[in-house]
Amino acid sequence: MFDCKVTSVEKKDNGFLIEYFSQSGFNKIFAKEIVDTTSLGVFSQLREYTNKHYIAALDGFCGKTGDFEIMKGHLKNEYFLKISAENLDYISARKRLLEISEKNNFVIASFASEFSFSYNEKFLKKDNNYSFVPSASFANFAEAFKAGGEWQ
Amino acid sequence: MKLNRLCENKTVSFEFNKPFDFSTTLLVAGMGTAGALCFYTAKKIGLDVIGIEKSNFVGGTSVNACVQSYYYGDLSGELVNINNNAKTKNISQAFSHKNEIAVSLNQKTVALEKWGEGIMLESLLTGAVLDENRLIGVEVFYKNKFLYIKAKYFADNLDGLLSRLAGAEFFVGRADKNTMNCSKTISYLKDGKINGEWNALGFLDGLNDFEYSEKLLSNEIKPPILLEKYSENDRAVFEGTQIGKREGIRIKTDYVISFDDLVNFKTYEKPLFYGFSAFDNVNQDLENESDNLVDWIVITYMRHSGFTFCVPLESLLPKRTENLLVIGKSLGVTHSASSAIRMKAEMEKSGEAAANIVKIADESGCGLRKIDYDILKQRLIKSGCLNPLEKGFFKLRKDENGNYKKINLPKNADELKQILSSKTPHYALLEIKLDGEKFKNDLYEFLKSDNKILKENSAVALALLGDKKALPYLREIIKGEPEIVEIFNGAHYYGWLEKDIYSNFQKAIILLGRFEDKESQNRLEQIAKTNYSDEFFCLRLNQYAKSALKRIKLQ
Repeated sequence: MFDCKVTSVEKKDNGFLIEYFSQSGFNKIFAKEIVDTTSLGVFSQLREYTNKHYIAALDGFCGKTGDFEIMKGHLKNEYFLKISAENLDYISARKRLLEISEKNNFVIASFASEFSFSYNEKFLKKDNNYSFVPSASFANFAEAFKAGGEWQ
Repeated sequence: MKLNRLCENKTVSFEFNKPFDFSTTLLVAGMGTAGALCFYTAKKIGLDVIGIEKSNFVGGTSVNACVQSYYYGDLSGELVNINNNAKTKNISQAFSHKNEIAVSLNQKTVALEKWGEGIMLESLLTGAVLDENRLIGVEVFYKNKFLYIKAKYFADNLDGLLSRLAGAEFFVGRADKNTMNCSKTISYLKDGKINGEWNALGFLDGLNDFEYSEKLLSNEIKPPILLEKYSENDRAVFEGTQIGKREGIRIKTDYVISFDDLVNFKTYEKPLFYGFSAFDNVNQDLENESDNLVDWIVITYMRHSGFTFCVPLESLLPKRTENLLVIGKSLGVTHSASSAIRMKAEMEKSGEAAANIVKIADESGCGLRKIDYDILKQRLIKSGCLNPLEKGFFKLRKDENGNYKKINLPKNADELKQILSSKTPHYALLEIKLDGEKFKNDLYEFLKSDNKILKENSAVALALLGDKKALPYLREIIKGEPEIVEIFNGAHYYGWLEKDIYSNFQKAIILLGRFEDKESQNRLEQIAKTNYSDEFFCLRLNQYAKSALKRIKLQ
């Protein structure tokens, strides 16, 4: 179910009662088991995201490098501008990115943010009917995909 | 106090006695096309405002996936300032479209976010707080907790969700149950320029969460991004943050603009803004639209000509509410009229106007319905939002001076005959639709002509007037094979609309169904099953024939 936001999870009857908000409003669903791949976990009260970096795809990079990072992409004319955006909100990060791009005559094609989480172990928690397997605990998405298959 | 929430598509009330976390003068629910301009204008004119947005971008689908570059609409008001600002930035060089409607994705986002304070990104509006049926606040799910925001005024740019929760009535209004035609948008880089493209996903009406998700998934496996279409140097750069709805739920406002209001160029005592559009209804099932709309879109081909229209203050005020304005695609417009009143420029102006209405109401301490309209008018004229347009039908392409070119309709029988003798008879049919009775005798004469095209077009014209003398000629048209002629090359504003088909065969099917002509039943049954070579045209003919048969059998 896309476009759904989990608003609460409570333990009930050897399972979980999950309330979510979707295009049809509030709904509830009962699940015997949860595999939680979110970065912070559905039970976590800590939901303050940290934007580690803010990235822009550049079209035909022609500027100079300075106090920011430029990465060459795999395709022709593909470059990425990466700035540190620790603890900045989206809007502040984008403003900073724009300032740099305008100063250096970069033509930006799109934005993206890069979140950073770190975990001491891969399978962080596995109770009888709740597993916390955050994708972000793996080195890259390929490993995360593979681990998802293995977990199953 | 009570908290109204949408639960499984129904409004459910709960007792409410929590403190509010924030308070503001204006709360803008949804920072899409209209909401973003409402927020931007409110900040600019000094209102205390909070904007709620579920994605992490403002500007909605139109901005986030380059849909902005193809729409009709009359560009005026605050958005002109934003566009002009974009033109001065090198960042807009990345965009492929050169017309004045195109605005840089990034630059517009930045222009709107310049006033960043007060925008709550990644926040969901989940409920409305009412005190004795008066909307006083909203419930927002933000960073994993519910917040409550108190406000004096509200602007609803959330497909009418806030209006519904506040007790306003809503409606759809189409012969078929489906109205919410939707698409998913994507922007892609091709030859070093960013373009927007979209996939039609069909209708969203009444889908449960699983079906809704299947719709989204179906987008992921379809073009536009296919390797055979693009080279390895082209790539998708951004996927629209949400589904783009051509039409959402409509809210019953003090005045609901109808289709007839548009074609009669109705004016109002309290205009907010003017607009320009064609009847841009591209639903694949036009047979489910009203006869009137089909006349304009299929019979006269008026989806390929533009016209001007006006939107009044009353169309932004939901009935049964006091301090709420509906902006964007849910404003008070009937389904048929919404094929024109939904363009980006006009939706933006509804947001700009709403902020000004709130400003005046707040300063004068009166309700939204009691503001001094003369003050509002002065403000809207000054900003360019209220920019009166000449009444009439125009070509969609502007001339070299940037003006809309008025369509020349036939003034006498000779001119009518000349146009009806061509395979582009639309302006003659338009005149017939507008004021055709005076040409009836001339049309009877044209039916006697040896000129096959003149005869067929005249029969269609008479049928438009409901004259049964057209019947034998219409039957004759569908006896043969459909002739498909591509017309209008170069007549349209956008490339993908450069071509269309001319076919009296198609028109005759529709009109015979309207006459409930039993004599045509057998032939229509054949047409409904025939597999014509042109896939798209075949579908249309089959569907129109089925629709006509439904009418005949219901006789």
